[in-house]
Amino acid sequence: MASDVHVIDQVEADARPTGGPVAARRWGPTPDWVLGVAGVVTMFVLWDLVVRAGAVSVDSLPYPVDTLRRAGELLVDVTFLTEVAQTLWAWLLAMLAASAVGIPLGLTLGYFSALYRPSSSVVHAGRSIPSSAFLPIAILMFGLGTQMKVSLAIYAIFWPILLNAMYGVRDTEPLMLATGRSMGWTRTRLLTRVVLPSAAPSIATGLRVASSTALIVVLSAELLGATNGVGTVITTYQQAQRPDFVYAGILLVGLLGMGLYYGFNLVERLVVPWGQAQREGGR
Amino acid sequence: MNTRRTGALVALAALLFTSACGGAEGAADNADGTTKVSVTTFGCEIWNTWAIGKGVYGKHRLDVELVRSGGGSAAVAAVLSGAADFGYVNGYTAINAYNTGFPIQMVSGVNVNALPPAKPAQGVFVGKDSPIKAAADLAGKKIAVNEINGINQIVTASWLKANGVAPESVSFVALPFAEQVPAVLSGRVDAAQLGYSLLGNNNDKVRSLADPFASSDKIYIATYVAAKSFVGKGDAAKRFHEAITETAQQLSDPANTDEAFRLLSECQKVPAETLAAQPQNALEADVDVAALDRMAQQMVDLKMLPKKPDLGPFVTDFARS
Amino acid sequence: MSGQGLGRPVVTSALAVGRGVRSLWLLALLLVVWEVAARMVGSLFVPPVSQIFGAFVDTWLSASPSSLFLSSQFRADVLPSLVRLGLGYGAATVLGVGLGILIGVWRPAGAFFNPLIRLGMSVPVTALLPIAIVLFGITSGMNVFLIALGCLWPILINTYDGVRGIDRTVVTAARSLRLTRRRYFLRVLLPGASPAIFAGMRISIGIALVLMVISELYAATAGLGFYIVSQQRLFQFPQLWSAIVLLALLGILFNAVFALVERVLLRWHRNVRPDSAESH
Repeated sequence: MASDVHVIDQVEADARPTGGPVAARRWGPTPDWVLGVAGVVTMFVLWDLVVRAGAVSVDSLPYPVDTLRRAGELLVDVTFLTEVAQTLWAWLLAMLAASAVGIPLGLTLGYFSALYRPSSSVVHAGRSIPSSAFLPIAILMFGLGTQMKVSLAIYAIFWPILLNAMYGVRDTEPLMLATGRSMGWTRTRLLTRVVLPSAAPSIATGLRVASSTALIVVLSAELLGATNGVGTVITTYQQAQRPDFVYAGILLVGLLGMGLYYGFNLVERLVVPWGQAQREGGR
Repeated sequence: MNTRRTGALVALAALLFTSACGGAEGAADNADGTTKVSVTTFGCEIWNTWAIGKGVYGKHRLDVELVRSGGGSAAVAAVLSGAADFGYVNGYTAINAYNTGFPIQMVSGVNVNALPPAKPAQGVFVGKDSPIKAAADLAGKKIAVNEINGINQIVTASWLKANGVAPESVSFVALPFAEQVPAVLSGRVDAAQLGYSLLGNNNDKVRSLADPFASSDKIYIATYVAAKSFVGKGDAAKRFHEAITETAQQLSDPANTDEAFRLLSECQKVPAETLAAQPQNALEADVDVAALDRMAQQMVDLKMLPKKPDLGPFVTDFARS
Repeated sequence: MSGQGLGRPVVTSALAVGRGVRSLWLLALLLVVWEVAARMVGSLFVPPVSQIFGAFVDTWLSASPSSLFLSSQFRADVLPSLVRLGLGYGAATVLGVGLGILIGVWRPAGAFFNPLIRLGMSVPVTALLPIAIVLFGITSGMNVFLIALGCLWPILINTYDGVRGIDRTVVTAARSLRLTRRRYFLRVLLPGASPAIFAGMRISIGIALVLMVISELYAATAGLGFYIVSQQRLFQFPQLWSAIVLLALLGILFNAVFALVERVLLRWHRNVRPDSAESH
């Protein structure tokens, strides 16, 4: 999913006339981060009110204050942090393996149009199947450890990475290709000078989508049964019926995902600066 | 394309990938004469915390590593793949897996239902003020169980059937144990079948219609299965059964109760007093093939098995009672 | 539609068959490889394709035309799932597009919701299952909620991007033309953002299918996900795989329908995916 919502982007975005003619500047210069903090605070207040009003029992959803306190305790808990590291390790392995295969394959399939359509129907078939349906088979083949989680995550993120690499190649401006050809460029030169740079933003989008999906799949595998990782900590607390710790864990996991997302954006901005202008949905 | 860089990336990924493997070796003898075995677990089983804490496994020359896994097909898959040596499954799952043709054998029983006069360990719970008073009132109602087609559903369905209620008229809903009592209390389900030990602090808010497990014959709630090839290789499976037998004996000695709950409490993060107040399932390491046979018959009656398999070869000789 | 002769539909369907062959041969090849590999290995967990298709026919299809050749199992488990999928996806689209336009047009709203959106999309929806049960009970509402929640983020963010990414010159032109609010919305904003909106909706279809299954693992009494878990517990792997095949078919179908709709609605837009392009 593409996005222009980045912290760094805001400066540039300020200069750009957004919204319609009616979206006037009457709001003045309230800094974005203030509004962002206000948003987060509002969420916590609403959460607190929902529990306080008894709409949801405390046994099911703890007070936000308690959740935050537990989150604080978990953050200094070495066992918890080790499990976080395990989850991140699985995430990293999945990302590396899926992109090592998915990107070159996607470039190839996108480049040769005879392969493009048949492979996109395989991709659409593959990505409709939830990787959790493969859990028993993954356990059978890979056991209960990191490898199983990684294999499920690879399955889930292979498709968006592949698809975006394919789209990226297909989107290469035909005019630029023709120009390159008329200048007598070799195929390799066309590939490195025209196709790759124009596919790079789309590939980056694919990787960004994959990065959040991989984390979610690794966590789900841990919730459903694995030997290590943050998900197993959450399950343990679920069995011990400690919703405060459970939601603290979920909150921290969300923050982890946010961190990965922003980190990814930063790297993308440095590596593919030209992607900015042409960034459009990650299909 | 910069092939050299891509090649390096592939190589790196392959390296990382292979370095992440290597947990799936079978039983191996350690230098000190113990055998390293891995056993699947749901979390904290009282016999495991005891046998590890008190060195019972060690006494039987077993170096046990607990690996967390879901039950059912996950545990069977773990055993078949060699990711674990002993799979923790309930008796029904074990029969089902064997019937499907998986090369596994039952090496030990561990939990059986608490039959009267023991205090019931399980219940079909309804809200304290619920109009539902008996099994007959459950016709057409929603009952929460932790897994669809799991042990709790089979036992509850058999209990309903024995009380004249057609199991098909009831809808079973899968809910995690922790969500079941809240669901009963808020009226989202009419009843839930779970163990007393899973009620949490909701003991006073619900009442049990009956212990569906107690109205049946002996039921193997928890057993261990291993791959046939593993059983045939060495005597680790036999020693595991012996260790479970010894643990069961020690745990049934009242003198050990406090200590057992203290160890369990450390693992479960629940106070020992709370645990001690909860009725427990009974422990039995030996497998009664006739009881297993009756369990298979229940599944046939509920149309979950086409026909009763011959369970003779399924239970290892050393595990039979 | 009306009596334009039978020739045209026949030609079109012949073309469609040709296109189908050209786009499905790889899938067919992979299935053949699977069949051979599964027969060689002989695993009970991964049966050969022929066995899976046998189970597929037995489970999901029937011989009676009155039920559109679909079995009672299909009606019992697949239809409820599809209804949930439709409702959840629909809700996500309405909410995502609405909210996306709002925060795209009105900057402070964007800043206000931005961290919450990032947090929301980073939380695994599966972990929210307990709270969904509390909020909606054991009803389809729970599944619809989870599907909608998972699909919301891509649609929302893409809409936001689409609105923000409208060409500056177009906005300036619209301003100088002094378009009314309504006209600006209908003539500039919506058309300008629609390719991005469609992109978001398209990713979400895949997500919706996945969540449809996952949300039924618990607290459901019928559905495709429910069917998958119950077959898993009974070690009925051919039946389980037949459900997986059905999901894959649904995925292909939904994507094809979507590509068609997109092509018709966004014909004017030069950035539309050339999915249909035959030459390159």
